[in-house]
Amino acid sequence: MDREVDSNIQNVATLVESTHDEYNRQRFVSVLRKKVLVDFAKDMKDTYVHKVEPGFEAKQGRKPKDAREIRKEMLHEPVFEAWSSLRYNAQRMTWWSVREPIERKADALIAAGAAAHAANPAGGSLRLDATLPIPDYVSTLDVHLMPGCFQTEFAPEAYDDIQGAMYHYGTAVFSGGLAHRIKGKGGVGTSISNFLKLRYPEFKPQHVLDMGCTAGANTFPYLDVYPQAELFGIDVAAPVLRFGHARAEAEGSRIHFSQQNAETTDFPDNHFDLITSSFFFHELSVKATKAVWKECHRILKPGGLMLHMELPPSNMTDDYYNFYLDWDAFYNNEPHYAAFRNLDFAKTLEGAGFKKDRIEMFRIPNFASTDPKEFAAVATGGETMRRDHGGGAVWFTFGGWK
Amino acid sequence: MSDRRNVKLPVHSKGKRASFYRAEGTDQIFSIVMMLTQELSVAYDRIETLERVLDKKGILPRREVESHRPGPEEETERTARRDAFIGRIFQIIHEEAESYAAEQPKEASRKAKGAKREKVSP
Repeated sequence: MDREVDSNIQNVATLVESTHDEYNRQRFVSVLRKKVLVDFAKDMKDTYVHKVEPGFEAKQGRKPKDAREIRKEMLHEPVFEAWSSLRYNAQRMTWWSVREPIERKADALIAAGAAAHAANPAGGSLRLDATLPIPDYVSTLDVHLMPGCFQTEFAPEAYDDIQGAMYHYGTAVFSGGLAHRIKGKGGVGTSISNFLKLRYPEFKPQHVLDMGCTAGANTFPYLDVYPQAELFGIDVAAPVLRFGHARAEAEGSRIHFSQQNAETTDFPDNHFDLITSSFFFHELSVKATKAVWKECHRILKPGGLMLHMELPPSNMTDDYYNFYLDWDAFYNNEPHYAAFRNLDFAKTLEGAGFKKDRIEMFRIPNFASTDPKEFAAVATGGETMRRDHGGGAVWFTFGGWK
Repeated sequence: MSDRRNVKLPVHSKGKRASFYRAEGTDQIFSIVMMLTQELSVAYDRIETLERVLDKKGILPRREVESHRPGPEEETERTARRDAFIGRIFQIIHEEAESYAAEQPKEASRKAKGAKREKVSP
């Protein structure tokens, strides 16, 4: 961390300790996930290209017409069954690998979080709303197969930040084998903020909002690039916000977290210079997504920018990739994923109030794993030839200027 | 700090369990194999840790472990241990074979119907 750290406050982001074997279980899962997502995913695609597609063509006299047809063909291919089993179990094992260390430190997490909140050395804030309804798209299934999801509380009378810890430590295992990992800092926030700085050097946002910020991993980086900004993060789940706030205070990052539904926030009209999010909308119902984009337009200042990171829409990727990406909709408790990707982004943005010629879509290379010259070239107008999200090499972003 | 709240975190996530194989039980076995693979990897990590710590402390150089080859007596012991190990792991297969052996009298009639039986090696 390059910021000033208050050494008197224990940081919830680092206090959980794993035993020798627990640590190695976590490392195993990280490597396993990398194998599944990179090496075995290539095996599956090769099988499709060399066996399944030619077989389909021989029978039907044409190629499969969309992702759905590919899925139907692949569903009982041994490679798909095995790959899916590996991926599904690796996902569950991710959370299991951190469950016990977190459980052991539950009281310490609560105490450290409460202490950071009380001391408030960074001057950030936390505003919770216990009456806020948790939307169905969060409460019905445990998203990402994470037991307890974002919002479950185990000690509601206290500073319960435990599910924030689950998400924080779990996602470190989740991406621990991938090249784009930056320890503790979100790759998306880091990449978007650095991209904006290079592309729009005159753009110096004063008020910045990160929606669906969870534990804030992708919120933090905006302060590195825009240290003068008033940075806000919202989410519907209290435990992740408590965790993010406690971490921010311990690390000297001034962030204002509040428990709000992004569909209807209490921020005033024309307030933010920059609104962002990462991996957020595919968890929402399409109806909610449309409402959030309208809300963004309302709270955005004229001249302000909305730029969200998401999975690329299905009309921008090929059928096989759509079949591959939509796996999560079926097996990772993310039922809205496919419907979101099927949206016509430009049309929907227009429907939310953004003018057609003010809409932006960028493919941003991951900052930490990209050569600075290449990153700068892409930011100032070039196109990256790198692959989309999956290996984590490129982040798809979209939005518009108000 | 004592764990006074005694927080218990859930193991399972809310939602239907995914199934990829048509044959019942295969999904469960796949999960078990993956967990075992993980434990095997962790056990290897612990051995490697031991080797490295011993090496660092000058107690046992790693190359001595690497170049170690069992003599005939040690090999006999190891063979017996491996044999017993395999026997325990595949107990279920042995059990099934044993149940057939117990039904010896029926065996003749089966053979008469043309059912082939492989002889089970000890």
